[in-house]
Amino acid sequence: MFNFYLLLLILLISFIFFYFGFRQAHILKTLQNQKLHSLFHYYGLYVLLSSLLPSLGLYFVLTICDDVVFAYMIKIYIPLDVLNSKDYNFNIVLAQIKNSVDGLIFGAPPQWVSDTAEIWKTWVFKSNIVTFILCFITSIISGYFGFLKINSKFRSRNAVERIIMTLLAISSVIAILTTIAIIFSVIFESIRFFVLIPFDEFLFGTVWNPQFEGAERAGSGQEGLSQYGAVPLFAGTFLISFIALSVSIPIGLFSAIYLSEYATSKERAIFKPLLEILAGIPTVVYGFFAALTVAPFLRSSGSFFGLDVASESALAAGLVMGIMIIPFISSLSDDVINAVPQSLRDAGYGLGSTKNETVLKIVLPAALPGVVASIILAVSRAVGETMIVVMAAGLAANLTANPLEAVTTVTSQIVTILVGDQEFESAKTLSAFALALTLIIITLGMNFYALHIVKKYKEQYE
Amino acid sequence: MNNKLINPTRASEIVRNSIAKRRAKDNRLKLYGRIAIGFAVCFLIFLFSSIFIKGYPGFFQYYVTLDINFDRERIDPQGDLSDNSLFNGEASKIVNEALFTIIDPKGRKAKKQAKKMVSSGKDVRLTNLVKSNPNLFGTISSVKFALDDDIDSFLRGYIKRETPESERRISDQIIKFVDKLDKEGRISYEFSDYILNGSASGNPEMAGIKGAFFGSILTLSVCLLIAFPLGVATAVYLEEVAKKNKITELIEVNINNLAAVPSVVFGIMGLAIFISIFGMPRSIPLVGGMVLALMTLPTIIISSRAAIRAVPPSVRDAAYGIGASKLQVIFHHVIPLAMPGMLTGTIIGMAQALGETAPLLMIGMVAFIVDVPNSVMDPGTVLPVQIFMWADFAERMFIQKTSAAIIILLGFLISMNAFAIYLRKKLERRW
Amino acid sequence: MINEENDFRKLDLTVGDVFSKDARLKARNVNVFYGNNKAIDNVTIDIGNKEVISFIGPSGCGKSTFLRCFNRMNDTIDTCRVEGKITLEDENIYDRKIDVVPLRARIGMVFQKPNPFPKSIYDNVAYGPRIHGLCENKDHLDGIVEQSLKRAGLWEEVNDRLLSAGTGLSGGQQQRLCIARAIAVSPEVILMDEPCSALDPIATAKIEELIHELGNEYSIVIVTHSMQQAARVSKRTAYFHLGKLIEVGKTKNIFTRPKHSQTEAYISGKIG
Repeated sequence: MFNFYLLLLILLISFIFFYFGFRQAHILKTLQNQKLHSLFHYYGLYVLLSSLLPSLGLYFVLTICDDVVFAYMIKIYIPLDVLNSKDYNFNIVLAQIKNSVDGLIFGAPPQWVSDTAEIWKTWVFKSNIVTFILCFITSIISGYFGFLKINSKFRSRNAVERIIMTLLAISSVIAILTTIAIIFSVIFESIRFFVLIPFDEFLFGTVWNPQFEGAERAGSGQEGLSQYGAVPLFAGTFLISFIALSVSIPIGLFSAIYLSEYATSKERAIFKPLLEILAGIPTVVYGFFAALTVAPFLRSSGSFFGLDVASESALAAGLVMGIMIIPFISSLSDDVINAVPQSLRDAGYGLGSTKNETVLKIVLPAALPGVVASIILAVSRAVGETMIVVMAAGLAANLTANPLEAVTTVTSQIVTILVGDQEFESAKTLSAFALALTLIIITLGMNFYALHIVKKYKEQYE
Repeated sequence: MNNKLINPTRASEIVRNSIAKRRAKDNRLKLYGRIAIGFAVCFLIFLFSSIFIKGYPGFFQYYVTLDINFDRERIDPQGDLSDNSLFNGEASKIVNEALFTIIDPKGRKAKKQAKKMVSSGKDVRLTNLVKSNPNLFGTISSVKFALDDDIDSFLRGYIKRETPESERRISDQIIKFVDKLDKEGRISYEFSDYILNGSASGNPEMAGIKGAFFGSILTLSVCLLIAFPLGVATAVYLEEVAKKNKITELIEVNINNLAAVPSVVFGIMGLAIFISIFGMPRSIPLVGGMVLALMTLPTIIISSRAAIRAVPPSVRDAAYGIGASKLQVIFHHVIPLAMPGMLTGTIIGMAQALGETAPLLMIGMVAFIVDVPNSVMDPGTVLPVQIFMWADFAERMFIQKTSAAIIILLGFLISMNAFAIYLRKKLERRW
Repeated sequence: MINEENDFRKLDLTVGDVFSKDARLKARNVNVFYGNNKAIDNVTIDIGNKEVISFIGPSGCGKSTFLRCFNRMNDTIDTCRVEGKITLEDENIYDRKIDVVPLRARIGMVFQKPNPFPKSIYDNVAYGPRIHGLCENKDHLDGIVEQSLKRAGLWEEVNDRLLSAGTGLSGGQQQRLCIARAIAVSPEVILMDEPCSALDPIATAKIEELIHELGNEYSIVIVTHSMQQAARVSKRTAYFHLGKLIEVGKTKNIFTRPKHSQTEAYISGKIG
């Protein structure tokens, strides 16, 4: 609530400044009969922005920073015996204190936790007051300085436009910031993971058996209870993606060919959106369907043929994922097939090709790079897909190529490890970040490559 | 001339002879295409009908009608209708007594079993009733209570009478009681008032989507408020303002790549940046909305750029020609003309965000939260996550409730997408 | 012949020699519609054996549309509908029994913009014989490719790089490649839809020369917007205006003594 009222106040002040700026310009023009460069409201807008932006920026910096600063300051309040104890971990202590601050108390925390939490609370109170005063003063002062600039020679429209252009530029940088944030959020934890677990063991180990255990901590000399060989996860991911693609590539490609070359415009108008619905269904729905309808169906039909199908099989997840991916392949391929110039088709038909020959011998070869790119994008989609595998593929890290068995994937391990309570600093939690790093590298690599192909392909016909 | 070309008559003969075979090939490819589309469409129909058939009964459940003696002394001992007073009252006991008068259980064991027949939300239901209508005090009125989920499943036929008692979730004794209630016409199958008004609950008969629904609305609002302005601003900057240079190229590459980053990775980023570094609380719609906003940003940017690009240069030239500044051209002409396309992209992005699960699991929106969130800072969950959680529960009745929740979610998604299509058709201009 | 003339000569407009003694293609009362728009109005004309005939007229007069009727290229346009009768050796090509594939093998086409396939020069020319199964073996195919390229006057220029991409050639070479590609299928008629409009004057001259030579082997119908070109390459000329065939006759006569006032207006540059 505090934040809300502060923001409201800042906004209110800036609107008042708008009025002053507007009025000042009006006075200059009508009473002093001066020639103004810009329209009145640009003067108001300039004063508004000069009041609003600095205080708003200050507010965000302060609110984001205070937690970080508190976390450093609280260190001196942690009792010595806790600091010196063997399993001391600052992150855990910090979480305990924060929970206590938020009023989430599990069992009876030690006295010093409640005490530090009280200290923390007083800091929060103080920082709120400081933030309030600072933002208030900033908004008034900067607004006033903006107001002082108003005179007949001041080009307020240009100034306002410059500010807005800058804001536009800043917002476009968000995309870069997000990418950096994504990489940063996994890279440090991954490095910490690779300190605990050797890189080659992670990449080439064939047993994945993470466990939360105190003894697992580095330095205690008892490694070996849990193992972090990611090969079964990669294999599982690969297996499920393979099943998915062997469903979606033929269906997607044939649909794309049919829709772009054979279908009447009416058929196109009906079936193209229908296929795209498949892409709009939430993955959790697919997961539910895979787990509760497809998997039991496969199991019972498997036992009919004397096959033993696991209740959570790679096949069920892969099949349903394949259906989900159909529209990615079909609409992307449809796009690239349509990008093949009509003149090439005309040339084919003019020579007396059947549609079949035109499509297979002229259009598809010409569109091949684009089709390949769409398939690569679909693979990256399959590798990164989470909910279906979490719900339908199971968690057993089997190293198997048998689609009837349960396997697990990179994404489903990430979810299982990071959902719910985590132990900070344990190799298990950190392993999720290492997995995420590999996932990002794989998907980004594929995406880069696919976009590169598409770019080249498009240049060919431009 | 040494003429290796075949003479036309011969050529046309050859072509004519092979044409049947070639036509057959052609038809085969056409058939494959039809089969592929047919398969996809059949699957779609199968998926929808399977979910609908499973989910439709989830909107209904079995109720028992009991004659309740609204004794104020017992329900509201302090007589002020305060929560405390009602909590100390004997609502639960009164309901049990009303039940006992009908089925007349003998012995402690039978009574104990009978008590569990009516959903454990019975006391809350009764107290809510008197709160909203104190006139009920002193009367004896019939009230409908939800039956326990196992009895519900029994009445639907999922738990079979023929199964031996030891393998069944409900005892012979209870079946006898149910039969008795049924014979007196006190059991009814009605539209569930829990599915829409209830919140997360471990008791399937009381579970509903209200909390998740409001959580979704709050999360989506945050997402929209962040993603739309940012997306439009970025698109405008890249299309109208920025010169083509290394930086804009880098931005473009970044946007395209973000569109391909798996959604779960955005969740990890939210966990690491917003929660760990910025110290924001877990499970709140604010963080969820921020994560989803970053995730939908590429969608909005890409479609907004396409919309801006579709505005013909002649419009800009006309505005520049009468002396408008760049910003005036952008805000007075380009953005209004591109708005339909931008809105369409935004709605599609929002639909994506509404159905997204994995990133929200990462930031802890999977917590079991009974209260309906009132603000973006209250812990909450969202519809797809609720579906994910329910799908994990063992009780039979949760399958129906999950499917019902899916129907509601799909309903929203389809109407959002339909609205986007309508908007595009209605407002799209052909230049 | 006389009977036929009675049947079809209900033409209020067309003047000149619509009919040809040694006709390859006969179009009778052809109407073409795009949706509800009539693009071609009641056109009757013969295309003679081994004759070069050009269709001229202002842009939008329907000459290209009419040309595309001869090998049913209009089939690829959904809204397009063709009425009337076009016969190739007394067979109505719009008959339901007729398959367009063998028809198009007999009536080749060269398009306005050179459209070589993104394949090698060799594969471009070999495409037609391959799909139609015209070649017995590799040597035969090589022979067909060579012969076709020679006829198209391209052999000298490309024989050392047959396996390089067809799209890498210059515009004029590409267009000749497209002509070679059409010849390789051994058609009887070649339709050319403004084949030189995308080319520079030197390339145009080469193509025109080529058309002139090919006229000894094939019936060629050429649509052009250039009267000079029509005068240079064709023996007969047909003048179209607003979807109607106004006048047909010997090229010389059309350009020197047009019978119809509209033709005269066009020739003298009043319509254009």
